[in-house]
Amino acid sequence: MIKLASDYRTSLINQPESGMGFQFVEARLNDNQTRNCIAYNCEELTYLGDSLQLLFEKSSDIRLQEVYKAETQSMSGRIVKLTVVEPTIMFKSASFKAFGESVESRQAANASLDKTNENERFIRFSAYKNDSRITPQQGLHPGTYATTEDDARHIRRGIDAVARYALPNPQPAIYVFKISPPQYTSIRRGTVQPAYGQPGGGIEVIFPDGTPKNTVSGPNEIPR
Amino acid sequence: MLIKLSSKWRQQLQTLPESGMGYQKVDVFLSNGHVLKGAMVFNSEDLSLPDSIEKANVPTDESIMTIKISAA
Repeated sequence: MIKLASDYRTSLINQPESGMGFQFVEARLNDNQTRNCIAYNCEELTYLGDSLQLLFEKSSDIRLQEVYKAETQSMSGRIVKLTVVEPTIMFKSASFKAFGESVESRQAANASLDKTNENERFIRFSAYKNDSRITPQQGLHPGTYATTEDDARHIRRGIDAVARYALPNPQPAIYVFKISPPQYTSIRRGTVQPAYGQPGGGIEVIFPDGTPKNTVSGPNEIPR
Repeated sequence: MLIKLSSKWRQQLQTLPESGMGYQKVDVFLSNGHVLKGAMVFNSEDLSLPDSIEKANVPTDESIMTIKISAA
């Protein structure tokens, strides 16, 4: 990583985050070439290359790591501009692997239709013990939102869910429902956009056709 | 303020998609011609209204003509 000068830090502070604490950045160099990078805390910059592979997957290729490290260092003193970019533009693909999950940089409602994988689990946080989207047969009504089991690990309290999933209901979402749909259940996947004064940023999914009976359990209760 | 919707509207809202986890953004059409646009409903039953709403426009079971998911 290279440490950014204060004027580049200021430039990044005035641009939106790509996620909590980081920004996907295109660095323009003094020879007019560009580099895909990631910036942490608006002050530390790392070269990303053409994919997120080095960042999010453990690479045993030491030589590749050294190449990226050298490329990062070579940018020092040559950067003329830093611009926050959408990762879909940066990597020219509709989705990319991030932290082991496929993430669309847009909300689920605008995502393409996908299918659930075998043994894939989801979580629904609710301020209501008698959540109305759970059918009497313990399935989900069509058009119901949830999050992934992995993303739900970020939630310790009900108010965490309000923030991460940008919920307009200020009541802490303390009731936790587990969802276990069969493989190949229709699903749309996306990222929660900031809204209602909340930062969002969590993973959201929609089950456009709902889920069958006996696929929902709970609720468990978490602290407010 | 929150007002509780009757089971009739609750059941209808359960058949409509959510706008996000646990809520639906709706337009409420009243018999007096007024439309509450972009109102929030939580758990298909709790309709959130601004405190400044005129009394005549506070929905009741009798005054609600229809509820639709808001396009806004």
